[in-house]
Amino acid sequence: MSVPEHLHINDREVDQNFDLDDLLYHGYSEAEYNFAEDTIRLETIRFPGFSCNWSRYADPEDVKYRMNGIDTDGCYSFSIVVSRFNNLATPVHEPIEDATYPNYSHVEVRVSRITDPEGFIPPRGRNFNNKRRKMEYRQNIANNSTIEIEAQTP
Amino acid sequence: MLTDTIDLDYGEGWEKVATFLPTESALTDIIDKQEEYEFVSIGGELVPKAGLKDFASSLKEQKEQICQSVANHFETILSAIPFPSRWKKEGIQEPTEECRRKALSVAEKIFLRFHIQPFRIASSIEEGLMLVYWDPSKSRSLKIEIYNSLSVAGLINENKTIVKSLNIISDDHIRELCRDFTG
Repeated sequence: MSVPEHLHINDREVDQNFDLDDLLYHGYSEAEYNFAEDTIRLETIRFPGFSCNWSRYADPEDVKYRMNGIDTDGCYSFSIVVSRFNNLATPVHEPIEDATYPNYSHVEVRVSRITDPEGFIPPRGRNFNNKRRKMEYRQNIANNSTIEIEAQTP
Repeated sequence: MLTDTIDLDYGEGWEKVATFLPTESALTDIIDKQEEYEFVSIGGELVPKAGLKDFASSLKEQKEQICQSVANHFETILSAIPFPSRWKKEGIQEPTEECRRKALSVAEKIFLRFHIQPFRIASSIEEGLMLVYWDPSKSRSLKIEIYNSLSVAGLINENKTIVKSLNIISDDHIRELCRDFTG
């Protein structure tokens, strides 16, 4: 499937000016949904290195235009505020220049540290070793996500 | 003739599975007082003093059989947990054999003490396994994640609010989470 034009890079610059009420979109499959708790399953949420699309440059349905994306995938969203839970992480705009799946809206949620100066863009690959706090961060995303498009049975 | 009721403590929750399981020391205590009692009331059941040891052995055997069948059930599930092909393509590691053994050990300990079973056991995108316990009456979940590194963490969530989380270093931490979950 061909990627919509608005996801192509088109010579646009990187943008790190997130508004607090902007949303981050992430694709999910039906198997990743916890019907009992009415949340995304905690064990399917990765941190750090969580990839999303930015609502400023993408629509919820754009999540299917990614490697390994399928038509029955759904989309859930959470806010920039949620992504910065307990100041553990922050979104970083990182457009993907790929021949098949370009994605100008791509954002990676990365680990932030107390010692980072204001406006600092955390590097990719920072680790976060405290398992308890990692679980809390991931559960917080699950607790505060909104289903934008319901996943279908494949 | 019933002369007294003795309350003997075994551990949390087992009254639901077996009427009563006296501890070794409690049994000795009762048998030493043989002159004073002909019957004892244990969990509402009258047991003649003479048959107390056999009664306790029978209950212990029942408990062992139940535990073994539950352990077998856990082991069967843990050996065949699906791993999403999408994760494999992304290079995420499947749960290791050591991780599965540790998860089995944790699940067994929890069952032995609190006689609750996981609602779900699943592979984790964080490279390991997750045990999920669920109480629908309180919309409360207990999640215990065992990583391939063999570290363990746990979290209680209720009505989409995190109630408690712990790095699980010892069995005390497991007990603490389970007490809060079942309480």
